[in-house]
Amino acid sequence: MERLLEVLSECCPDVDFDVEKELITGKVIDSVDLVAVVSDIEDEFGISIPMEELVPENFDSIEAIWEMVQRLS
Amino acid sequence: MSITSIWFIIFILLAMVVYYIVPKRFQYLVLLAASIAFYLSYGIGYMPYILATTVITYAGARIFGNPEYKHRKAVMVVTLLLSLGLLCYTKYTNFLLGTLDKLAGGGKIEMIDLVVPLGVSFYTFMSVGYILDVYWKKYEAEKNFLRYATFIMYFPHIVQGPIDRYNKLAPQFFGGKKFDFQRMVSGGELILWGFFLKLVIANRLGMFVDTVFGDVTAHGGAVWLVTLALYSIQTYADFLGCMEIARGTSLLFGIDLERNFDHPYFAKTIPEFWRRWHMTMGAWFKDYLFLPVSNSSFVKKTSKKLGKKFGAKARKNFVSCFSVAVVWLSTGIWHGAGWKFIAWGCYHGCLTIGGTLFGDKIDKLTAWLKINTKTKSWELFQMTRTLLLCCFGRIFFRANSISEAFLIMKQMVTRLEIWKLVDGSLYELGLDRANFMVAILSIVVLWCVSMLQERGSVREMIAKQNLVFRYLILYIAIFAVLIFGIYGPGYVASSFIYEQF
Amino acid sequence: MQKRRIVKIILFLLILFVLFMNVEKVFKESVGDQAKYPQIVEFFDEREESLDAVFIGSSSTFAFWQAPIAWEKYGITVRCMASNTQPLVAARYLIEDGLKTQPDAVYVVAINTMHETVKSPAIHYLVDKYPFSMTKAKMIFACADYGEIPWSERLEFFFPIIRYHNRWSELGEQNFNNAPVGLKGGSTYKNFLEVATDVTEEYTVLEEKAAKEELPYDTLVELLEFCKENEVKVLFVTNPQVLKSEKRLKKYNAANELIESYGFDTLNTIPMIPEIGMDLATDYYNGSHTNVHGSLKYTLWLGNYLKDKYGFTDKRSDGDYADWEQESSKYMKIIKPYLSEEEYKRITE
Repeated sequence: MERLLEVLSECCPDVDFDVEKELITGKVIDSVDLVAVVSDIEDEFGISIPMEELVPENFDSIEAIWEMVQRLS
Repeated sequence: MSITSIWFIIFILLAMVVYYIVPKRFQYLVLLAASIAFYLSYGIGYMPYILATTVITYAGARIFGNPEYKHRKAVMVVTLLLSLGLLCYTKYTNFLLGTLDKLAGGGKIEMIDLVVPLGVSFYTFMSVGYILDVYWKKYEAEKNFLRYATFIMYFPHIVQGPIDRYNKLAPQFFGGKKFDFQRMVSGGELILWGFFLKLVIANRLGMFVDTVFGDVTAHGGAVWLVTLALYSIQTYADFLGCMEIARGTSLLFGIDLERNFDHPYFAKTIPEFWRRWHMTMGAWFKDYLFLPVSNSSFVKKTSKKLGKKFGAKARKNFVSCFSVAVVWLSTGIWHGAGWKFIAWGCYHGCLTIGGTLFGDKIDKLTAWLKINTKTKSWELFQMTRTLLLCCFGRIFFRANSISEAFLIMKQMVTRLEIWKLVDGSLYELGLDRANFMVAILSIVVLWCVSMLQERGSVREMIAKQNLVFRYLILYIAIFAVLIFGIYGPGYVASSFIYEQF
Repeated sequence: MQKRRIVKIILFLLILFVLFMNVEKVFKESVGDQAKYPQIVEFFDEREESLDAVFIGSSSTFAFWQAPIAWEKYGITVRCMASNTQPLVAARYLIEDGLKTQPDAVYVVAINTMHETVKSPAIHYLVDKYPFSMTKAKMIFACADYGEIPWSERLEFFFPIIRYHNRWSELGEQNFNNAPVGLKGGSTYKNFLEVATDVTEEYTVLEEKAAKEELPYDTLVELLEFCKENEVKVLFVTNPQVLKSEKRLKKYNAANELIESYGFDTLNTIPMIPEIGMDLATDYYNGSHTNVHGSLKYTLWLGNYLKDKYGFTDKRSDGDYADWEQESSKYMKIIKPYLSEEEYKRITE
């Protein structure tokens, strides 16, 4: 999860991932930012995130992202 | 049959009677039968195409809808290609042949005699949305073919949309609708409003616009500005009218369709405009083109490389600009088989990309000029600016070709002829003084209703009033459409006699 | 649904219907053609069983025949049931409607209407202000069928506002005025009163007959069968048009032969123009229509013929016909300035 936080912070330095729990639904990260997020996560963790995973449930919080990453690994 | 004809009214009344008589579990079949009848009224030759798309996409989704199936992706791609292929074949073949012919020097390639099925752009997009939703496991594939067919062929949205989503619309077909008088009235009022928009406003403005565009070199800048402004209102009234008739009709059957407009001319920026105009198209392109393209490996890899070289901003800009470019190119093509539509798409693409790339620079300039962006006057400026930008783009949309569009622009710049606005010339361009006045008055009515709608549902406001007032509004609306609507063969004394011969 | 709601709906629809009928009444008349509607519509204002004869035909009929002149001279009641470009196919239905109030009248049918192609305006002139009946509906369909007018374009004959609604910007006082024109259908329009064209060169008389295929055979037969079945007293007149078209003249001859074969009376007045006393230089405003001078001569001649043939009585002293006396006087006052003294004397003496 530490690795994940590192990747995310580099990708979106203005966002506080510890606090924000509605990254997508609260429009903290827009669809264009998400591309970078997905791309960096895929590279870092060697996984492929298909389109059907791009839903708010998987990206609203760092915990949700981590759960998805583990599931796809 | 035209949706602004008396026959359409009779048709929906009949369909309604049957709909509320049959047992609730057969109601969707009534809709399907009515939709088939409606579609056939446009010509029996269109039927095979829509049937093909319906069958192919239904079958495809059933196959790859199984998440365990090994060749999911392949079947999905084939289904997609077939569905889009039918659209391209019917709509764009002659455009392609024509272009190739021009390149080859002309007169060498013959056009094919093709029909463009009614609503092909709309129902294809709805089926593509369905395919992708099922592939992305948003919901399961529909097992009942007739239920799926009802969704695709649903007659209120087949002519001009809205582009509905299966998971939003389909469940409404099978809910079992009870007759609700207030809903009837509400639906009827929407249809009446749609008739007003199309027959009184759009068709009337169309007479002026068609006359001016019929002789492009004869008019100066002032007349062109008026024409583009009126065309912008015409196209809005026409499209909105169609949508209101679709929504009102659907409401008679207890089914809610998506809204397609949210007072677009009150938008302050171009991107906002496109979130208010043809909303379901924008949403479709976002979900089914913009997102997949942005998340394609090409975009991801390229943007990452650019990000490493030029920074995070560049990475973000590449993603949005590239995807926006693809979307706008596609939007242009989707609107029509012609280079002028592509030009129009590129125009709006450039505006959007320009806004992305230079947005913060413009904000800095505005701040530096000490402009207060919180005032009403600034908002008005933004709305006017957006309107003018859209009007300008419409030259491409309405002109017969790109070269004609440039000719018009040249006319606008080289000869202003501002006196034409006041010397009565405007009353000689398809609309006499009386009709011009009616046109202006009806636009004022549209504006008032739009302003009221910002506050809440106008239909609900009417419903709360007393009986006499409610009836009065309805009678006025009905007779306004009857008397001031532009429909039917019309009567002109001098030519009535000659019509006989 | 609650009772109150049903009542409200019925009330709404009722008011809508009344409003609609009244709005339509205002619109459904073409300005400038007011002179021509009364010829057909005001037939229905006549008292039951008051007419000696009814003259069915097109605009040439109401140019040729002036009912008030016939009344002034002979005291006979023969009025037009004619409309602009009226097609022959309508005749059978006009007779049917006419018989409802004038069962004993003689029906004079001008077969000059035979050549008309039926387009939308012809039907409008006929039906716009015509009172509704099932016969009218059948007439509309028969005319529309004959003219091959698509079904989608027939609604405007039942609801003329579909055709006339864009007249809103030219409405005037006369559209809100429901007063009948009267004059027993006598013509007073400008061309009729003021224009004379020399048609001497065009006068043609033929005896040849057209082939059966060139006639509107089915229409004629249907008309003849109808008259036979209902034992209608009918006279088929060919009004004295001055025509160059040999085709048309031959068709008239062939039609007359067919009619006679059914045992009905015909009267082809085209060869009789010299006998009637028409002056081809001054009595026509075009080959198909007489002006007031020609009409005078024809009316007096034909009126005499009808009176003698059918035994029409002179009703000038009959109090029941006071309206005829009144309207005819009005009409004579209107046309007097256009007539010579001699012409005027011919009518009044």
